[in-house]
Amino acid sequence: MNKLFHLLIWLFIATMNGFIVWATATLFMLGNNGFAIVIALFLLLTDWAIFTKRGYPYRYTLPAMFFLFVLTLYPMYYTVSTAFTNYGTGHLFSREQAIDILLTDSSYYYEPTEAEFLDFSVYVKYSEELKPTEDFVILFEDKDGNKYMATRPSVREFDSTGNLIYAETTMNEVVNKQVRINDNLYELIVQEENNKVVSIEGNNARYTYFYSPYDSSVSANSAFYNSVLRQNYLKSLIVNFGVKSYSLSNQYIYKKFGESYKIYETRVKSKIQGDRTYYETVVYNTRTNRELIEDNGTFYDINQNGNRERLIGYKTGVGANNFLKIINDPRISRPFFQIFGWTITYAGLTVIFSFAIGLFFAVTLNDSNLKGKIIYRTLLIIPWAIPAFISVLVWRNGFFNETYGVLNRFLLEGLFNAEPIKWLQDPFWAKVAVLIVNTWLGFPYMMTVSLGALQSIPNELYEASSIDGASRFKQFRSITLPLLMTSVAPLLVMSFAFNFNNFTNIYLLTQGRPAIPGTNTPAGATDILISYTYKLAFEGSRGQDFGFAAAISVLIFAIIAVLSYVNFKFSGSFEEVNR
Amino acid sequence: MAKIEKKNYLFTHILIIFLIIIILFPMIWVVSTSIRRDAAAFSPRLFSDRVTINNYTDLIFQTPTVPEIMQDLNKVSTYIGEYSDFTYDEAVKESKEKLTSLKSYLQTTENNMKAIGEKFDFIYYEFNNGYDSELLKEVNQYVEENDLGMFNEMISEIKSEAENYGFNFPANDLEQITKEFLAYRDQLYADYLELNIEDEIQKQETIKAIYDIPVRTTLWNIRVGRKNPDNELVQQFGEKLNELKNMYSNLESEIEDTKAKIEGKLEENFSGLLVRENEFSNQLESLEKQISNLNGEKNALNKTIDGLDNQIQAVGDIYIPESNKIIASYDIIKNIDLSNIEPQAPMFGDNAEFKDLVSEYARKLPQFVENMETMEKYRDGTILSVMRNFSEVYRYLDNNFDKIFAAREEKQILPSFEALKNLTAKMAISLDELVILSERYNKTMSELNKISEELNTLRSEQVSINEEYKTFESKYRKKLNFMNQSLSYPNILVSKYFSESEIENFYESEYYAKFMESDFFKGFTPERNRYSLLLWKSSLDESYEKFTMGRNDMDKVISKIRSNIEVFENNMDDYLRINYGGNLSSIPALTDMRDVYISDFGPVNANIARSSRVISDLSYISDSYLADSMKEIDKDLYEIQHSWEERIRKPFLRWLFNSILVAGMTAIITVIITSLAAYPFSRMKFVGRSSGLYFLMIVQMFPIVMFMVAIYGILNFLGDYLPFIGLDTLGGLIFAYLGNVAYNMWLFKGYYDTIPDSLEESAMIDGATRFQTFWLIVLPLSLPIISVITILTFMNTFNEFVIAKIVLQSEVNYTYAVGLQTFSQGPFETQWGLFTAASLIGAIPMVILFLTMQKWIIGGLTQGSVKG
Repeated sequence: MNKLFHLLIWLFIATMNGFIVWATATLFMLGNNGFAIVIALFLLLTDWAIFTKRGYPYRYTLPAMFFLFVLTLYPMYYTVSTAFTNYGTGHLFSREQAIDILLTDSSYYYEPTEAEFLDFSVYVKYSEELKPTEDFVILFEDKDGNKYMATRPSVREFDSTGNLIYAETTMNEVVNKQVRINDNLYELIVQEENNKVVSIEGNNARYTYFYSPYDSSVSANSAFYNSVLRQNYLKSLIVNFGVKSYSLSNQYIYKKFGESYKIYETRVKSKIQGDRTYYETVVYNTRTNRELIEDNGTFYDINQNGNRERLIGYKTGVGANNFLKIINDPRISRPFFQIFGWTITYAGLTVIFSFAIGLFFAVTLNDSNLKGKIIYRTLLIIPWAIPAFISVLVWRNGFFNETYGVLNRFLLEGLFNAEPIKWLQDPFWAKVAVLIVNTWLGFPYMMTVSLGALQSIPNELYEASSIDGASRFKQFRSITLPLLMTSVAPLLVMSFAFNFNNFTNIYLLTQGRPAIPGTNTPAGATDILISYTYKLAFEGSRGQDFGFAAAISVLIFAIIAVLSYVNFKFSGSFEEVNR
Repeated sequence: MAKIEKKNYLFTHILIIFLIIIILFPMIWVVSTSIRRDAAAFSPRLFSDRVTINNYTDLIFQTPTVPEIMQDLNKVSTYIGEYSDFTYDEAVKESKEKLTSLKSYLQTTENNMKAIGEKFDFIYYEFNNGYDSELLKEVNQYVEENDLGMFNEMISEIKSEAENYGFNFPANDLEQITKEFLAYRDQLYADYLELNIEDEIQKQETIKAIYDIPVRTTLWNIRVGRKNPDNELVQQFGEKLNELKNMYSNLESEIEDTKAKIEGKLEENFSGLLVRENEFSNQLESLEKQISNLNGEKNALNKTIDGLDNQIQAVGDIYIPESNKIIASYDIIKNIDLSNIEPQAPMFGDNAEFKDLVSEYARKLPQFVENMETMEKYRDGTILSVMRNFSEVYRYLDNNFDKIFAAREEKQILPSFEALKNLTAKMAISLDELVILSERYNKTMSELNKISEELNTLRSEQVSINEEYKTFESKYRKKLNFMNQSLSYPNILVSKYFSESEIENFYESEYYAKFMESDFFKGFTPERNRYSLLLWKSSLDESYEKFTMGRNDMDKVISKIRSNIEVFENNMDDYLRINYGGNLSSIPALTDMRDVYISDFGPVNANIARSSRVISDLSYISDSYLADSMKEIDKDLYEIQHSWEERIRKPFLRWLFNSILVAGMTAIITVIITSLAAYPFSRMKFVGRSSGLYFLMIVQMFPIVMFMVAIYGILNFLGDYLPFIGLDTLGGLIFAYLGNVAYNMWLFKGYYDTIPDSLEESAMIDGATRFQTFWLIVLPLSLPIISVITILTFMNTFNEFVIAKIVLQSEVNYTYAVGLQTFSQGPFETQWGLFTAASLIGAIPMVILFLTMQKWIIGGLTQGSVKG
């Protein structure tokens, strides 16, 4: 039994090693070097832990380490490295990908002035149930009546959502109703009366006439043609014929193939730097023969007016630019520091208010003579028990809604007969709303913690001081508070750190709005650093700036790490680690 | 022994209960809103007793309503959607079931309608048999207490204020005239009753003619009088109506007279105040007009200047490029030594023209430059510097033209000379234009400045007058108010007399309310529900009318649907067979049904909704034995509406299930890996032991929001090879949650530290391996902390929203947190019933879980921080 168990474990280790090695190799191939390195490191650690005696303790930590590496360390590394790039909208691709797009995307093709146009018809192989399949050939005819044929494209490229972005095939001229493509002989079957090609046979298949754009008799087939054949093959098809190439021309509303050529091509350039020669791939414009300008991660071309025209951007390193932006660019630094200030204010005030209210309840409920305090305590914990996102949504929709919300309608207009407050539109009141909700959510925790801590203060202290004539208030100030603080202080700091990063509450309540006027980033008056980062990364309406967002995340992390380090150090919570 | 004071706990209890109510109010609101029938967002009531559990059943059971059954029936018989795999027999069975439920809905609706009709009849019966007189008594009492009392108060206030000012209101006959008018009106109603008019419309018209203020008889004449030319009584009645109208005109003119008298007296007493006030407003008005005129002029001038600007720029565009060439040629020419040259003037031809141009330029350019130097906008510009250069060039040329001309071939300056000649000719026209433009520009600018000055003076005048007016107003505000009020004194009196008279029937009460709400007396605007008691009968009538209309239309709808059902049933076999054979065709009977619903149900719904709303409002002001019937009517109407409405369905239960699954799996897996990983930190010595946990905790503080991009990429990559943990899968989500190890490890370690390791040592002496001691000794002893961490992780994962929102994309995969958020936006933003019900369904289990486990949870969280 033991032997079987051992065998299984060795099998498992072997499979895991194999899997990780394969994963590393794949990742390197895909260009995702960071991830590959992380996984490889993990593999090294694992093997060392398994095979050496000293590594015995680490074996226990391996599963946790796996997830830590993959889900924490690698993302951290990724974020930090992104902070030094310009990754974001307009710079989403790597340089190779950007060049690829310039070379294959149909918007970078042009039609020469005296372009030749070809009519075309599609011949499709039918399945046994007489339904059209995707096996087809195309017959072309130029204005002189010469016919050409091409099989369906073998080379096809798709983008991440599955759309066709590039397809390529070759056409050959039909001579005497026959044409040879790829060692297959195809024969055209022509109807005698009207000289129409009804089908094409070859390659052990029969291709029947299916669709032609100008032929109304087959318009019933246009659905299949448009949704299947054109969408998956013809849309971005380049048909090569010698040095000429054709694609569906929008001059004829995609009903004819016209000559079209790539505007951009690559060539290799050699650069001499010192006494070394570097080879570099550059892109050049085939019509003007001018090289494209690459500046700051963007390709530029010069248009007819002599001005720079932006073509496409790619991801590239920008050094510490993202960090410097925070200080140097006034449009960014002003909201940034405003948000930073508000984050500290917000976290601090939340802690203070919720602690004050929680302490008040704790002191009130700590009395052993008070009947029903368990019920009270249970009731008061409810705001903490309800999932935060539910409560925040309830507050937002039902209470702070300006027109229908309970606060405006019933409290202000009904009871106090005051003007309704624009809760979520006015910067000041939005902040008030956020603080109210956060305090409401946070005070039960403070109350619980204070209750626990209060119970650890021995009663004799109170009795002794009351003998000495101290008032209740003095007792509170001199006995309760100091003793409380020593045990509760680390929790307060932890709560501060938690609220500093409390994305859910802010985002669900106000999305950080109302917006701060005069900036070009989605900064809002109730934004805290982390919601600002999120909006920058995922919701920028002028484009997402992952690089900058990553830089801010690094800053946030630095602040929180320092805070927590100080907190841990001074609270001595980790003394016991060194047992 | 110190005295322990007896504390007064009562106060504490009251305070705490009060605070708890305030704090828990949102939850109370959630519960109460989730069971409301009406649209809570638009209701004027905070709580409502019109309750239903439909919000919950809609979310949990999702019973299809009539339109949904119709759609389903269509889908079954055309084999699309989730029915596309049905066999023929299954389809038949399913269709029959749906038909049955459809038919039962129709039957229920009819029954409901009938029941509602009966309840209405009951209410009317009660009303006509004694309730009406009781209600009238209440109405009159209400009017006396509220309106009459209020008017009396107003009158005494104004009179006392008048006394302060020594002002006496002039005498008038308003009381007598009003009372006569009202008495005549009552008599008229009695006459109307004797007329026995049959036609509904004529009845309404007559009543309106009697009671409406102001009294109008034209419509009555057209619609009633002329339609019954042979009816003596009607014609006599018509004459009496006319008399009523005259009496009312009399009243109106008496009011006007009284007003005029009051105004006269006011002028006597407060002479000059009114006049002063008028003066002020006139002055301000005229100033306003002047300012706006000037502004208009200013705008026009600005426009002119802009136009001139453009022209100057355009001209400059011509000059500036040429300037280089001219300067270049000039540079060549000016360096020539002309001292020994004999001057020679050109006689004719282009050279002569050139000479003329040069002298013209030499004259005009400096002038232009001067002009331009005063134009602030151009002072530092390129055009000016170019022009300065040009003026230097042409002055030089002018002074030395003859010599240059003579020397042009000799000194080899011919090319430059020719160049200058051509360029000058080219620019000739433009120069004139430029000079004119600059002059105009200056003129316009000076006009603009003048106007601006005028505007400033006017504005300061305006400001000073405003201030004077303000001081005047504040000084005399009370008097002014009083004056304005006293002008409507007659109206108050008349309103008072109206409210004094006894209301004898419900038509009168309805029109009385209308009269009070009109602008007859502007100083009083009744709030919305003030006269709802008076409008009792008309509200009931409205509700009944809407109900009847709805019912009639609904009957038509139901019969159309029934006939379509019949057709469908008769041919069901054929329909299904055709479609089953693969020839998709639409079934006319079913599409017809759907069309009937779409086009005809809308108005029915509107009428029923309105009827329901009115009757429920009415139920709050009626006596209980009628109110109960009304509430039942409301409830039945709501049921009808609800079963016919199309709903937006969301896979709510699926969301809950997803959340529970994800949270549970995450909790289990997390506990396994962290309990394992924390063990060495507590029991063994190794590198990184002391600072390891530290480091891990700090590492975990990285804002997880930024991991999103990386995690998105990771899941994308993994999903390509292992589809069950890719993006938009629950497996991927669970994977993403497993990175949160550090804090749990810390909790485990803290707990392990409290277990003495003597147990393990003795086990190892007996031959157990380290791992066995962990598995068999430590782990079982750690059950408490295991439960804590399981529950904590479960709760935290259940509540997590950010990562889930990014990883999950299709609606059917959402967790509860993400799904609820979509529930609170867009069309759902004010469907509070559904939203609160959904919130409660998710919140209550979590709350119960938390409360029962609170001891564990709190213990776990405060462990390590409280030294006790």
